Amino acid sequence: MRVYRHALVMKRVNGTIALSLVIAISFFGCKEGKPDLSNAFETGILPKVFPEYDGVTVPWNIAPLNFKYLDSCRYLYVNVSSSYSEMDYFFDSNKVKFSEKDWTNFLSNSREDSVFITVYSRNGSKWTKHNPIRFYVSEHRIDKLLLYRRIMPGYQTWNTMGVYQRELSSFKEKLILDSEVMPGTCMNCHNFRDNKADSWMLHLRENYGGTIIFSDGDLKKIQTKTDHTFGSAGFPAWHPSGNYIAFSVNQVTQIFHAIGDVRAHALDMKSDMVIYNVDRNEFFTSSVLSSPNAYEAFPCFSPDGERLYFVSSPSGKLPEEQEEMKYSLCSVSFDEYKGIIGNDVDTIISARTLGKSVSLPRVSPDGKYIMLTTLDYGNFPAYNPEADLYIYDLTKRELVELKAFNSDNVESWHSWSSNGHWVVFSSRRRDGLFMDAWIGYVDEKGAPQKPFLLPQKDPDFYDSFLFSFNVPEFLNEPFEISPYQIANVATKSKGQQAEFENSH
Amino acid sequence: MTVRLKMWISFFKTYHRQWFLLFFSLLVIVFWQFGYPYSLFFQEPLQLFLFSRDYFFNSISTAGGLSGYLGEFFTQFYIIPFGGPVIILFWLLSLQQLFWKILKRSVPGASHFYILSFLPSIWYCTILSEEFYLLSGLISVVIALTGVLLYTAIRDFRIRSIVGLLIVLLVYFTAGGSYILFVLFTLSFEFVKRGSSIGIKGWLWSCLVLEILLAVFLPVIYRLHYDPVPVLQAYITEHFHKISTVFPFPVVLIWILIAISLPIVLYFDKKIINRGRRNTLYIIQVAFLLLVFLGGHSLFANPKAEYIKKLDYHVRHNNWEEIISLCENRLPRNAFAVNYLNLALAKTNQLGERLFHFEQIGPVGLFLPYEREQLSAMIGNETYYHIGLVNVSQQYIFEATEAMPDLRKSTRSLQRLTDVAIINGDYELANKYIQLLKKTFFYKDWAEQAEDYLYNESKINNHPDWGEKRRLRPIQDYFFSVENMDQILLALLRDHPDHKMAFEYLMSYYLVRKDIESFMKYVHLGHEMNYKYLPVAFQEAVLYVLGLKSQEAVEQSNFPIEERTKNRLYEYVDIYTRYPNAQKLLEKEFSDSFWYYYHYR
Repeated sequence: MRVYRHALVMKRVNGTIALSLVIAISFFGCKEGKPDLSNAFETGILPKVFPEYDGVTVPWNIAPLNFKYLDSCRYLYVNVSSSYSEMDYFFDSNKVKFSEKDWTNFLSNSREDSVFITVYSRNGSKWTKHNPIRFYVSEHRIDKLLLYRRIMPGYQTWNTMGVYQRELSSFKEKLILDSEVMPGTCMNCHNFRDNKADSWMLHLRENYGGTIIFSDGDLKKIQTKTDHTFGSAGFPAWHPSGNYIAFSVNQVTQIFHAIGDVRAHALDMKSDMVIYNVDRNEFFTSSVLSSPNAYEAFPCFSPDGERLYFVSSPSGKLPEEQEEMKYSLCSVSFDEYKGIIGNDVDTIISARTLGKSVSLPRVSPDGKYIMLTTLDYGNFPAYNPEADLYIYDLTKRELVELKAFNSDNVESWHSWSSNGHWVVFSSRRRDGLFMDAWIGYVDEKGAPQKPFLLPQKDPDFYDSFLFSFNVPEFLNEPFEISPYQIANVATKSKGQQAEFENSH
Repeated sequence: MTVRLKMWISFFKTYHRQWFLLFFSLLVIVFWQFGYPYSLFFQEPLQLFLFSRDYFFNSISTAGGLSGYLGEFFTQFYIIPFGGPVIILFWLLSLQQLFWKILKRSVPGASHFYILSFLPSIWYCTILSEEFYLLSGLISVVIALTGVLLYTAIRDFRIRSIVGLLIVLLVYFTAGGSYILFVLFTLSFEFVKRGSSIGIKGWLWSCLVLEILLAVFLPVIYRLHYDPVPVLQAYITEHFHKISTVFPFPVVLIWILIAISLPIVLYFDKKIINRGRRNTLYIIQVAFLLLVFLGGHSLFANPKAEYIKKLDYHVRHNNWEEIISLCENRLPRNAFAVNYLNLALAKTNQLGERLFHFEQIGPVGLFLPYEREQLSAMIGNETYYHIGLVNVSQQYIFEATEAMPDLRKSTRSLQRLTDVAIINGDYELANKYIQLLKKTFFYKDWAEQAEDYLYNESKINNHPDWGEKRRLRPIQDYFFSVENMDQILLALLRDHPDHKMAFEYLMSYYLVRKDIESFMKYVHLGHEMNYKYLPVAFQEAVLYVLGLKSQEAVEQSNFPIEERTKNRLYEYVDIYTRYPNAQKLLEKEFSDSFWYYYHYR
């Protein structure tokens, strides 16, 4: 059963042909019927398209996977099929843009099935048929939203940046806060409790600097630099109870390289960790989290809240010894009721044994795995091309590379979806400079499938987009606070000064 | 009075409007083409106007977006000689003509105020000489006045009031902040038109109240439900000044002036015209225009900045000799200008020869440290690029882009980023920038040519610029810091011992810092440069050190030094040691020497 439209022609197995056909033609003034493809020349190879979707696994509720055909062509005819549905589209350009409504229905009906996209291209009078692009539609849904910061990949200066939430089943993007609302303010380190928008925080620097915390329906601003800490707190991780946030306190510096692909490096000249009690507006720490002989960073709580994971490296002379700075994955116990940090540090992955540094541990929602980034040295992977994603099985105590996710360039800043089947991560794989958001599937055994680039409405989007997708995080419910509410709280006062509790 | 003169006066009176238009046009053309042409050449590449449907719709989808889009569209033609002045003239004339038509229509005796109709245009002409004020602001005022013209053309008050509400909406979305001008003018117009019959009664008058309410709340609604911009930006919009947080007071003055022009004209019409003092009125108007022009010029125009922009233009076009010639005529003292001069000297192999022929201001005259503003990073990148430190150039240009006051991207930075990406072999990245530049009108050809080079190593290696930079760029990696430029240059020389530009910059760096010890430590690196004689400034520095030991040391030196320099040293030493007023005596003959710089600067 087929429905033809101007520029796009759609066929549904269980539709009604005639009526739809008449309505569609009368509405859209279709001039093109289905071309005669019976004599199409078969290339026997996949079409060159961007983004590539062949072999990827996608959630059934993802936005249309629009793409562009990279070889020259005047017309495209695209057949999308699965065991349950079929759609045909005709385009008079090299861009394939699916109707959101039709795509949603199609994918929803094609769960746990392979989808084939057969591309026919025409330059002169003859059609060329390519081998079908095949992708698999998972039964597992992806979280509704993706939250990220958009920033131009610069060095020390920023100008335009903003935090946005993007609907993953469509292309709608909503502003959370940007530099037009708060000029001169750097905003990042956004973090949520369990992929929900009921407890979150956002760190602001420079103009109106401070940390914005939303908890129990209350929006507040705090100052995290105390007499007992050498800097403001950053790189947060919420405790599942919502009562605590673990932070790193870092003294970060940047060094710039004269040559090569690595333009710069961020170095922790010093770092400790602290835990913030949200209700009491108080920080506390322990000697295991703020040792003078070690740098501790990038905290992450287990889903049951009983363990705190972080990375740690012996201190060194920087920047001279920067390549010796290798971080191990460690954990300590945490008693959320008493607010007590355990004394015994468990070294889960030893950097010395691994010969590499690890960073950004993120525990899966079921608590079985920790996804992390490995790199040759240091703990800021953004500039290290060798930075790759690995998964650590907490039961088997086994570290495995997520080869399907990795490339020759940086992969880092990964985040789990709330059901633990989807991971979003940043990668510079396309051009070595701009960080894009990639989404990949992980099965129950922790095995990854080939990831796909965050889909955009216009397949040319990435050609001209001069920003990086920074710190992408899944979110299961929309962020309802308006930019003005945040700006009001941020600008009306310096914020409450957080205290430091010494008794811990 | 001769007959001929009377004829001329009569001719002038008959065609006085055309004469004024001609005179005004000449004034604008002369002002821009001969006064501040480089300000326009400088502005043009600091925007990225794309010929694409998306860009158009994105641009016009914000308040004032159409004026912004048109402003950028016309600004791109500043690249053409005479293009900028002609475009500015076109819009200034549009402003004048609209204002004149509105005046004529609104006030019966307006014909005596023709000269006054040039006032907003003259003021805006001077405003534009401040680089942060945008052409889109002028276009915005023109759009608003078009709305006023339409409004005043409607005779029926009832229809006019309703149409007025629609025009407020239309002007706000197309021209942004100038909707305030429209609202102010309509209020003024209605009060003047209806005179004593004013009374807040009837639904017709409530239209005006509604218009005011709309003007007050429209931006509030806009920012709450459409585009979350700050309050000032919602009312004024970003198309007047490059820094959106700046209140564009000079433009607001124009809005107010145009709005109150009706009662003013009426007042003077009664006071002066009715008393038969027309000539006085004309003289007052001309004098006022002159005053406004001179006042505006002194407030907004910056001849010193124009000089830097002129140098910048020639740097971008590799007119090195022209830069030196300009600096010979007007000694540069500003860090930006000295930087460009030294670069031009280096590019023409004269840095070591003529370093002290110009006033040096220390290391900052050779390498600009990064400061968090656009200009230092933009200008600073040039030296690093030409010396082969392409990653540093990239860093500076990134910073310059991020420090752009209007938060936009620019063709200038994209071109340089493309240069660096191609030199570094980052072709995917280069292609991204190229695809953007291909959507521009004036950089399309450049981008298409650059595209032909992608992935073609031998072609790039043979490119006069990219090939040269590939040969000059560092081989070994090290960390960059502008505070340790000598170490950076030494590393570059270790990679390329015959890198003459790096050597001369290094030696110059030591000399301007008066670091003789380091200079002598590394001057031997000059052997690799195949100099017949060391560059004069370096000869002088070597002789100074040798001269401190003995005359024999000078005479027996192994350094390639000319006899002439030695003789000059003896002459200098003689005066320096014998006369208490040596500085004055030496100034004439030796102020271009290292010795004089070392002792007296």
